[in-house]
Amino acid sequence: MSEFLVFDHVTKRFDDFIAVSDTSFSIEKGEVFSLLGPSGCGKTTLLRMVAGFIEPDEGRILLHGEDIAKLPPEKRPVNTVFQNYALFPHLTLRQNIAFGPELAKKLSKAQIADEIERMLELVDLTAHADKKPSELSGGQKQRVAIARALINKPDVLLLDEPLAALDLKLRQRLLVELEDLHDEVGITFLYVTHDQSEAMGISDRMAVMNHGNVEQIGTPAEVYESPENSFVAAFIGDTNFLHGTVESVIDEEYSNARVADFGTIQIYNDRPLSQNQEVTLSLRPEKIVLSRNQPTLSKEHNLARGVIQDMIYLGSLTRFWIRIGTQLIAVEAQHGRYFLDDEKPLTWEDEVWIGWHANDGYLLKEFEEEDRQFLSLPDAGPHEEDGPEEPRPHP
Amino acid sequence: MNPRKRDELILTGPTLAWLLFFFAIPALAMVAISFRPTTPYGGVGEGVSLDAWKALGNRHYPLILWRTVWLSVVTTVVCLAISLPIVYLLGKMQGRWRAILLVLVIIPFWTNFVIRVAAWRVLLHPEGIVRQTLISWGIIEPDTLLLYHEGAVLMVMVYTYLPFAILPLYAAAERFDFGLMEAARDLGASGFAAFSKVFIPGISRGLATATMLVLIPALGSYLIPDLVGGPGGEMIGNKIAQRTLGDRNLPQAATLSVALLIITLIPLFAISHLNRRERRGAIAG
Repeated sequence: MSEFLVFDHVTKRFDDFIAVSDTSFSIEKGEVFSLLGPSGCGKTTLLRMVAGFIEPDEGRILLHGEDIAKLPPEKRPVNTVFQNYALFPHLTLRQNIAFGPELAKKLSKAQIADEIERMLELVDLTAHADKKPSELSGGQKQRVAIARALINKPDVLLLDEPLAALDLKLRQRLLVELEDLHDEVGITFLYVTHDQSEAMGISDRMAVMNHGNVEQIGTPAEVYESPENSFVAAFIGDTNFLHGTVESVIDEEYSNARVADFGTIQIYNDRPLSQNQEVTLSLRPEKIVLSRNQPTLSKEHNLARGVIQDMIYLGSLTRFWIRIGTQLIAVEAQHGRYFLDDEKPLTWEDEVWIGWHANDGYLLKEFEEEDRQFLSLPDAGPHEEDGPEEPRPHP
Repeated sequence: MNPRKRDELILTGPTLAWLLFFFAIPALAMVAISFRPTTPYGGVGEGVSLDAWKALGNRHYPLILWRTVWLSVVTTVVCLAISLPIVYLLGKMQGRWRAILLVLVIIPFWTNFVIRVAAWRVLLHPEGIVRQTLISWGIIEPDTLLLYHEGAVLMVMVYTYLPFAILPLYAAAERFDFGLMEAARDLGASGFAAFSKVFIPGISRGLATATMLVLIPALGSYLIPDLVGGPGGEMIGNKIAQRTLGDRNLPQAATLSVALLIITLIPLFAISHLNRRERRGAIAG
């Protein structure tokens, strides 16, 4: 494992606010590494410290083993793609892209011109080369910003929410383009975003951040399937939290746990368990099977019976909230099941069965009640008046 | 006449009439007078004479015209040079301090212009505190005069016209996206390179306005050289006043005024040409 870009006990405070708190991790050469988290989590501060716009209060930032934390931005072999593009309005695209190499004076005029043509081709903007930025669409501007950064052949390309200002379809398309671009140029990408689907889509690895701390680092699948704590579980995707107590350890793989309203359920031993241990299970909505009649499932499956309290049709799937005793469980189901499998579509107040494989839940290391704010919950409606007090969903 | 045309005429008519009677006709009359002979009693004679125009070539007029242009251009350059870092900082600044500093720029306008220039006379006077202090500190020789030469005119002109440079530049700097400075640094520009390659082009409109607002009134300066200039610091405005009020040589005064008008029109046309080209570029390019 080559440690290419290393954050070594980095701390940054703004007055009383701790933006980044004693953070250490490293990024490998050539990978796409994302910093993901809600606003104020410190991800942009970390990126700006690599770019050189912010100096850390403590700690080192090593690139090729050399501490760059105190170098001015122009002396660092990194380039940034800014969220608002930051193209120079008085220059044409060609002049914008030429800005870096002309300052560097490493290449001859002819070589620079060749490089610019190559970059324009790479981002497919040759036809617009002599236009001013104001004449371009948002997606085109973003591509110019990428070309303007890449032409300098940075060791690390820093992308600060590069797609946030674009609409959804364009964002999805540019994300694929960015991935292709990365494969083509092979430069290390440090990608900051608050959008989990962007981070999951483009990253080789990602760091999930909250309150200035890195909560978990891993591949998108690792982070999604085995979140270490309730923040990661709730912020990435959606989930249900089940609190229980270990009744008995069945074997190396499974244990029984007592969960209020569910009785005894089987859980997978994601970590060594002992009797009477308190555990919190994260159970993703799409892992749960929903049916009107009691399904026949393997012995590693858990079953529970509840009532549909709310449902939202989302097109590609339908989200249900099932009331089981005092708990509200989110379930996502493809509506192939919804429309075809049942003779009668499921609707509000229907009694249903939910089931899941013991291995589809994941035991969290830590649980914080406040992380529930990141879960999606149904809108308050008249049919929910007797429900327990739940925090309001955050859009 | 359709109602729209009529409304247009009603709205623009008074302005047009005002400009016609108080600007266009007097200006043309002045041009006409410059081609008239002068009479021994200080009036304007009959017929056509090129005497006044010929007189521009001899004696000290070329020197004074040159000094007027030179002092005005240097005043403009110095004002811009002082203003640019100020508006850069003002533009970057947020909230309270920005408001306070802006008020400090505007405060001198609360005092009458004549009084402010007269105050400089007091400050720079041979017996004044500034000169005495500088001599006692050994910074200037005891025989150095601070008043009554080109240097004094230049200094007071810079002082007077500085706010006229700062305000339009500030208006441009306030709209400038300072994120571009970070982008420039990120791409390898030093702080100074980012300032000159990104900030200055970014406020080019403000620069054009500031240049006009300083250069044109500076070319027409009369009071400042009159009060602090002395014979060695005379500008064309002083000569026009002399010919009008002292010598009663109205054709000569008119000729000097037309010459000044032509000099003034040069930067005006140059800037409006640049602006037009830029605007055309923005639409076409």
